Amino acid sequence: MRKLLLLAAIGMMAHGGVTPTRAEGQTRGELMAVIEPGERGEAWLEIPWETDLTVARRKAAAAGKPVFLWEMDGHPLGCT
Amino acid sequence: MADREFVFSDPAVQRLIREKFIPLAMDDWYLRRQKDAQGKFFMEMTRESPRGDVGEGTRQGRYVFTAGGKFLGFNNNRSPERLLAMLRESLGRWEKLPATDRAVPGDLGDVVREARYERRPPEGGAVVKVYTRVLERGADGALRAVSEPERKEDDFRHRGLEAAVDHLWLTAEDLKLLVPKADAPVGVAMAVPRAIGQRVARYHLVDGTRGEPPHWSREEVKVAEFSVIPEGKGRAKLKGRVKMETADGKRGFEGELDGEMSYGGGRLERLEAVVIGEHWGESALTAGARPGRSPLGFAFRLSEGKRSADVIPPQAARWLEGYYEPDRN
Repeated sequence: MRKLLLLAAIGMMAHGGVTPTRAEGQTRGELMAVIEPGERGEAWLEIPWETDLTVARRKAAAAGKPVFLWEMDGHPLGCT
Repeated sequence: MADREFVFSDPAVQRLIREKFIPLAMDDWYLRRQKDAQGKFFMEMTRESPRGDVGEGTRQGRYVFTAGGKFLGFNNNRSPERLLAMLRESLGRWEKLPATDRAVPGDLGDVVREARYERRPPEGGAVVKVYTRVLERGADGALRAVSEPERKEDDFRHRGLEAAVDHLWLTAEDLKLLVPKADAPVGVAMAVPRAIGQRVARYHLVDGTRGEPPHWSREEVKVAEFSVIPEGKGRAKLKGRVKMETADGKRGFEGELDGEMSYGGGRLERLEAVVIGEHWGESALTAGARPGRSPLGFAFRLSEGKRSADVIPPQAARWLEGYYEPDRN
């Protein structure tokens, strides 16, 4: 089976001008699982981030807490 | 992305922030440009920080401040220990403040942003999470995530092996064009409207795994062919192929799309798709690419929109008109 998969991949690469795509035998679901971050990769979302300054200030005033701001050039929760 | 991995996934950092602070994440590009109440508040608060003298330059970093705007602490380091120290020091300053300095003077009013910097998820539209990850082929030919090399405890070097995330915004008008009508013939491919295809190709099929990626220009898009193939009963397949390449050929991506969606009443209910292909080259902010062509994968999944983090504006939406009409701009 492994040999077949390898041959399929090599065959696709060798096919002039055609992009080597998925290895045969991998479903879309399997590929999404490989690409998506999963729970470990999204552990940073365990923090309940606000995304609006005024809303965060209002919540901070109500809760009697300071604001912690994570500020990046490119949204910290997106972009990269 | 390195901050997510090294700093904000740390359980001690998470615990302290959750218990003692109101956490807020924002894009400095917008905030430092806004001339409205939010922008003025931010610039005034940061005046006392180490970023106080950067003028119009970036003010990115981590800040602690009161709801009223008193600056309490700053840090811009990937060490969780150093962030924890800054947070604790800031709490010490907070606890010494008189009650009047912890409160907000007067009413904060409604959230009003300068119109050109306002970004709201499209009403009646959809937000799709777009994840990007560098891949490799295993001995059996299967694609897999690139394994992380062992690292020392104090090594916070960012290698770009984790999944990057951005968000594709689709308007209500996009959905009217994208979602097949109830009487659409089964098995007959419908071309995805050019504006949507170009948006996906130019702004979302970019390698953002090592930093802020450059988007493709119209001229760099050589092929962007996407189609929706109705399967009946509110389901359709998504197929496509793309090729983007810079004029000098030093950077590019070539790949194929495979996906499916389900819908009802003109609305998307589910969308899952992958684009698998090969990327080559790097840019000023994405240095460290693997040599030559290497596998890169994208996963698209309809966002549940339950959290603020689920509907973040697309990176390319800084110029909103250009984002929505990439075929004309």
